[in-house]
Amino acid sequence: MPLLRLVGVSKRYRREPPPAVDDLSLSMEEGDLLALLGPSGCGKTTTLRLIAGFEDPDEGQVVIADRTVAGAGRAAVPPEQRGVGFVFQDHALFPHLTVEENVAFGLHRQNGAHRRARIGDILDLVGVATLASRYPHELSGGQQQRVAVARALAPAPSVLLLDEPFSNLDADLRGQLREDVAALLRATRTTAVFVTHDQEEAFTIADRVGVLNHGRLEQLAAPETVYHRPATPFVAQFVGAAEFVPGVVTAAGIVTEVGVMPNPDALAAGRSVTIVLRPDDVSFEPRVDAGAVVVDRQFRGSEWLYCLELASGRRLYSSQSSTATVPAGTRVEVRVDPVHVVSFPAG
Amino acid sequence: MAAGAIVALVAVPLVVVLLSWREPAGAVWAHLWRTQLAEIVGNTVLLAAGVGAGTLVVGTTLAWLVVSYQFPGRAIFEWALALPLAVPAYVIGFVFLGVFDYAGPVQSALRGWLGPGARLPELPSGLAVAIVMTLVFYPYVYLLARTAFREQGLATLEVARSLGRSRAQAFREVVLPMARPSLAAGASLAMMEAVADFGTVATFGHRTLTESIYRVWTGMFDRVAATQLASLLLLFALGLLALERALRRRRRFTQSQRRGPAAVPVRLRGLPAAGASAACGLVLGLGFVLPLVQLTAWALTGVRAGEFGRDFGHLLWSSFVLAGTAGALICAVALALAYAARLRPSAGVRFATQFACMGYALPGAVIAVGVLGPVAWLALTGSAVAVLYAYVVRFLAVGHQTIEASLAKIPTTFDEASHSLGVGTTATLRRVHLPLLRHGVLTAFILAWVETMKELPATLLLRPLGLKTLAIEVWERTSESLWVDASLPALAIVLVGLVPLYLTTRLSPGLLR
Repeated sequence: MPLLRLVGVSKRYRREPPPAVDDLSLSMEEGDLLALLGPSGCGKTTTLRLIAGFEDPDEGQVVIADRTVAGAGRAAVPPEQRGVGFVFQDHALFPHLTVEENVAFGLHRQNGAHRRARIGDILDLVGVATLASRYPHELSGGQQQRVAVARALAPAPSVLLLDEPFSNLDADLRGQLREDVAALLRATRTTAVFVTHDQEEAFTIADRVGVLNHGRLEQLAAPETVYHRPATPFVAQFVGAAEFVPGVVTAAGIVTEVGVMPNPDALAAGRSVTIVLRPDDVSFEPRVDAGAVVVDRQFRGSEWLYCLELASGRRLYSSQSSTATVPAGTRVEVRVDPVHVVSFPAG
Repeated sequence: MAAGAIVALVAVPLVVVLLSWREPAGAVWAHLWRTQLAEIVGNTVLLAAGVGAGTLVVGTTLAWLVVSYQFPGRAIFEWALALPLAVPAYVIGFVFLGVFDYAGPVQSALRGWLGPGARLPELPSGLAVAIVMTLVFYPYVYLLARTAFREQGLATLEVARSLGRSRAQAFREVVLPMARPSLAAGASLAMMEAVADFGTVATFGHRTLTESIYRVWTGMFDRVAATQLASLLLLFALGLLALERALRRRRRFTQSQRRGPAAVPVRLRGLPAAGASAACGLVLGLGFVLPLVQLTAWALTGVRAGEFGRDFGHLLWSSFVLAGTAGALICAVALALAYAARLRPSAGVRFATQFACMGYALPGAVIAVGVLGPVAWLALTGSAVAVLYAYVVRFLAVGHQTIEASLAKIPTTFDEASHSLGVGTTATLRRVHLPLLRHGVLTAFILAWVETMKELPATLLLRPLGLKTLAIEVWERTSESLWVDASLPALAIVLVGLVPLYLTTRLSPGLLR
């Protein structure tokens, strides 16, 4: 039985299209970790707010633990009665309350002894037990984030929602906290949805990733599927770098200017398609009379990212180990060897 | 709901005043029309124009001196020039009257030097009132001008000078035009005060609309004629309010984005430096130091003569209690209004807020006349309810502005965080908002309290028999030329009036420093 279900949910702020959230459906089992990924303005935060009840959908339903909390013609259940936890981008810790009091804030229905025990447990769990009597302004950004998670988890919500929870933190702190929070959510078997525009973040934490664009859910799948088998050109481009190369399907495979690709989807011969090439699909060999040339390169630490210009003028990117270096201007022979050939109808 | 009720609260007196024309004009009105109305309206217009011009010249000049030049005493003048705001115009008015009176210290000294026949020429009452009001209300222009000059003036001055303009040319061609909306907004605030003032014009016997309303009301007992006069005054006030709002909107567009290091003020030496110090010192001396010194001197005389006994204690107490009650009511209404806007930020609530906060532009006399209708209908005439009602309408904006600002500082994510933790709306107000609003509400209370304490015309027209406030005491003693008796209550009002200046300095350091 799914714990959280969105059925055809739409939300409009303005009369003009596109809607902020457009006919979005998804479902989550207990313990799932779902990342909503997309550029700013794609509707991912609105989706989170619709689940929390800070906004009401114009169409569709939100179902949490078998209870329809919004839609289906009834008055929406207010946020305080939905049993969802929310971790805000700005933490939103109450400045007039200590860490302990912040965590206790949502435990107002529990009796004293039970509440004290719960506060102690949860502060231990997120690793801020020593900070219990501090005020939020006395904490570092990372500590505030931990307290925010503790506060949201304390009432044991059925779903935890996190809105870009790590975006306010320094890069090195972000990595550490990300791992800690992910471990915590798995250990407590918390069902959680978090919103991010950082694909690395989505990939490292989530079981499944939903890619949103203009309010539409373009793909919802495991991280490796989203990367290797993008469902739409938008997903291909947004998740990892991608170049699109036109090709024609023949009996021998898909013929492109960089070679003949396999045709695993058994597309009918004669169709025009666009195939997706990622930098790690493309390699090259220096050769004096070759048609392509290295026009630029960027050092990326463990690898070089080369920009290659083909004889046709089309540019492709290729990432190569940084042990060897090929200078710009070198003529090269391009080889393409995709692990997964992804093609879309040309158009 | 709450917003609607509050709008009705403010709207009722206005509607009463405007509807007065449905009643036939009585004999008193006919008499006024034949004899004095032209003079009264003319005086009011001239006074507003005079105070507008006076405050513009004084406020702009002082602001420019303080912002762009370095001269002895500048650091003190910079904030001290705002001090006259603490002194109600009617207090300065009676001090001047007392000082320059035939029996006063100045004329007595003149007679001592020049012989018994020497006397000062008597100024026309209109000019005297305009001068007094300019000395009290110029800080409205001064403060806004100073901010405008600081934010955009000096930066643009440098641009203009790099393009070959002299300092004076740059000021005339660039700085002044850019600051014009701010200057005009300050002047329109000063003019609102001038039009609304009752105590000063009455002290000088100058016939304006507020003074006539009082005379018609208490001398001829003609409510209809008084209300009709009030409606004229209301039109003036609304015109000035519209002007001020329009200018305030424009001011936002002219705000420069450039925030470089502040340009260094030019150091003046010799005569110009002395002149600048003298100009600032003269205005501050006349508008604040002289009244304060004279009041203190009179008060000491009175205390030595045993004038102020337990009666003064009672007066202080009843004044504090009345103003405190008004302050608490104003805070409660302002909080309801601000909270309604936070929960449902609709166009309707926005309009309600704008409308309800219009009271600051409405003369106390207009509100008093308008309040009397509904109060009489409820058979509450002559009770403190009428006075309190008028105070709430008049000073709601003072409380609302402060409370709204501190409520706006609480991010909406706090509300959402609270709801997501299972806490409802009322409990969120109690557990999150009120603790965070404590300082804001306290500040709003003090500001409203002080304004109420200084209020004269509405109190005078609506007070129950026997109710006395500091302002009423000042007014009554002044009208009998008992300067010494008026001095201690006046001094108390001035000291109380310094509190908001101190508070606003602390809350928004940019305003005064």
